[in-house]
Amino acid sequence: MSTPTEPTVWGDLDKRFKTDTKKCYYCGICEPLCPAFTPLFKLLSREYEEQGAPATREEFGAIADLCYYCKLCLPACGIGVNFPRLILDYKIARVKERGQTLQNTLLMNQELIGKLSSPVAPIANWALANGLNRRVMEFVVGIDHRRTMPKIAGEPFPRWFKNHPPKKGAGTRKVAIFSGCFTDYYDPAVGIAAVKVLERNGVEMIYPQQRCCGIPMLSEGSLDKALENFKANISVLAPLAKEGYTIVALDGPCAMTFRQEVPQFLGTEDARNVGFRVRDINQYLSEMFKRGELDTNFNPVEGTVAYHASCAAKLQRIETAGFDLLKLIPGLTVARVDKGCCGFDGTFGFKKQTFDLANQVGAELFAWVKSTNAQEAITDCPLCKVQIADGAHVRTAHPVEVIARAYGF
Amino acid sequence: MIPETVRQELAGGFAGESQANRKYLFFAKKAEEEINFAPSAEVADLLKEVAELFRETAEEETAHAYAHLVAMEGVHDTLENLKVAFDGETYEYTTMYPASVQAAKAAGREDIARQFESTSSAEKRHAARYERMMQRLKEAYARAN
Ligand code: SF4
Ligand code: SF4
Ligand SMILES: [Fe+2]
Ligand SMILES: [Fe+2]
Repeated sequence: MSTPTEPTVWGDLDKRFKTDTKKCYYCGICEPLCPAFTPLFKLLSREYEEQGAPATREEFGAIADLCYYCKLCLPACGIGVNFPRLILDYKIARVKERGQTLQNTLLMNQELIGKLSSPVAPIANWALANGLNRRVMEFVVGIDHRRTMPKIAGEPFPRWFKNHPPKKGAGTRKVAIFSGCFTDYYDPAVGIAAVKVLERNGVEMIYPQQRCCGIPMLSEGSLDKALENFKANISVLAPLAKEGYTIVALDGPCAMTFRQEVPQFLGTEDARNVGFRVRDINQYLSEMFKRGELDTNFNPVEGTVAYHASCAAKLQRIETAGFDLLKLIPGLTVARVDKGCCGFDGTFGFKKQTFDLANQVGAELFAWVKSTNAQEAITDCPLCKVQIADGAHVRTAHPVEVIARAYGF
Repeated sequence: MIPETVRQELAGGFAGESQANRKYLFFAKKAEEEINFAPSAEVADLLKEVAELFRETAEEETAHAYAHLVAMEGVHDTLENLKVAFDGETYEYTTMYPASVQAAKAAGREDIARQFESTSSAEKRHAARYERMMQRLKEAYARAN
C-alpha cells in the first residue's frame, strides 16, 4: 500500500484531515460559506452517524477540489482550525506525488501567457474570443467556453511605466509599485490610474523588478513554483523595505500574499520586514487621507457605483478602505455590499468543472449588484472584476480608476 | 442546600465568567490575526504580548467559572452529566435555534438565519453523539455489576 515516497509527501496529513474535519463536522459553522463543507459533512456522516468506513484520502481529494482558497473560513473559525491550510497542504502533497495538471499549469501562469502574448495581442485576443478556439480550449485544457477571457494588453504596464517620465515627489514618501501580473498584462489601466493618483499626491514611485506574487501557484498546490516567486520578489523588495520604501500593491490578493503567505512560507526576517511595508493601494490612500495628506479636490462624478471588497481585502481587514475613498467623491452614490465571495477565486471561475459552481457562489452578489442599478461595479481584485462583469453584466473598475477620473485624468 | 438567592448569584457568576473566558480567547485570536498585517515589528511583538495576556486571563476566568458551577451543584456524575448535555443539545436544535432562524428570517437577515441553521444541525449531531455515548456507558456499567 505505501510507496517509498509516501511518508515524506503525505506526512501526518491523513491524521490532520481526520482530526480537523471531525471538528468541522461537529461544529458546522462554515457550511454556508462555500460549496466544500456540505459534501464534506455528507462524506463524514458515513463514519460518525452510521459507524461506517472512515473517509479515504481520495475522497478527501474530491472535497479539496471544491475549495478555492478564499480563506474566509480561517477568520470564521473560533477554535483555531486552519481549514484552508489543511486543503492547501493536501494539494501540495498531491502535486508532489503526481505532478500538476495541465489545466492548472496553464491557469496559474497568466503572467507568462501575458508576457508571451502581448507582442501579438490582437491575434491572441482574437483567438481567445473565437468560438471554435474556445471549444478546443475547453476540450484540451478545460477552460469553460462561456467565460469571457481577459484581454491581453498591447502595451504592458511595466513598459508604460518605463516610458513614463518620472515626476519628482513633493513629499518624503517613497513608494515601490507592485502591480501584479494581471494589471501588468491584462489591465494596465489600473496601474496607470494608480500612478497618476499617487503622483497627484506628491508620491515618488519606482517600479522594481518583480514577478507574479505567487498566489496562483500556491493555491493550486505548486509550492516549489510559488516559493521561487516568493524568493525572487523578497530578494528585490527587502532592500527597498530597509530603505524606507512602502511597497504598494495594486491588487488586494497580491498585498494579502505578501503580508500573510510569504512570511509564513519563507519564515525569514526579510520576508517579515517586507510584509510590514506592504500596503494595498486602497489602504495606502486611506492612510494618507487620515493623515490629512490626500488631495480631496475631486470633480463631481454623477451616478451610482456598487462596491465589492475582495476576500483578500476582507482578510486584511481593509474591506472598507476603497469604499471610504469613493465616498469622498462629490455626487457619487456608493452602494456597499457584504455578500461574501464572488466565486471566481483564481482558477475556479475558469474551469469547466467548476464554472457553474463559481456562478452559484457569486449569484447573491450578482443579484445585489443588479438591484443597486449601479452603472459600474468597483472592486480591488481583478478576478472579481471578471466574475462580476460576466455575472451581473455591468462595467467594472478598480477604486483608483474612479479616483483618477474624479481628479480629471 | 444552597439558598435560592445565592444559587442565582452563582449562576450569574458562572455565565459571566464563562463568557469572559470565550471573549478573551476570541480577543486573543484577533490580536494574533492582526500580527499578520502589523505595520512594524514593534507593533507585531506587542500584539503577541496582548494575545498572551488575553489567553492567560481567559484561563483564570475558567477557574472562576468552574468554582461557581461546582458551588451551585451543576457538576454531577458522568452519566447524569451526559443526560444534562443531551437535554441541552436537544433543546437547542428542537426549540431554541428554530425560533432563532425564524427571527433572523423575519428581520431579513438570511445570512444569520443560515448561521443558526448550520449551528442547529451541528447541535443535532452533538445530541446524537451524547446519546450514543450515554448508552455505551450505561451498558458498560451494567456489565460491570
Ligand atoms: S473551520 Fe472551524 S468554524 Fe469552520 S466548520 Fe471547521 S471547526 Fe467550525
Ligand atoms: S478557503 Fe474558502 S473555499 Fe476553501 S474551504 Fe474555506 S471558505 Fe471554502
Ligand atoms: Fe473573573
Ligand atoms: Fe452543542
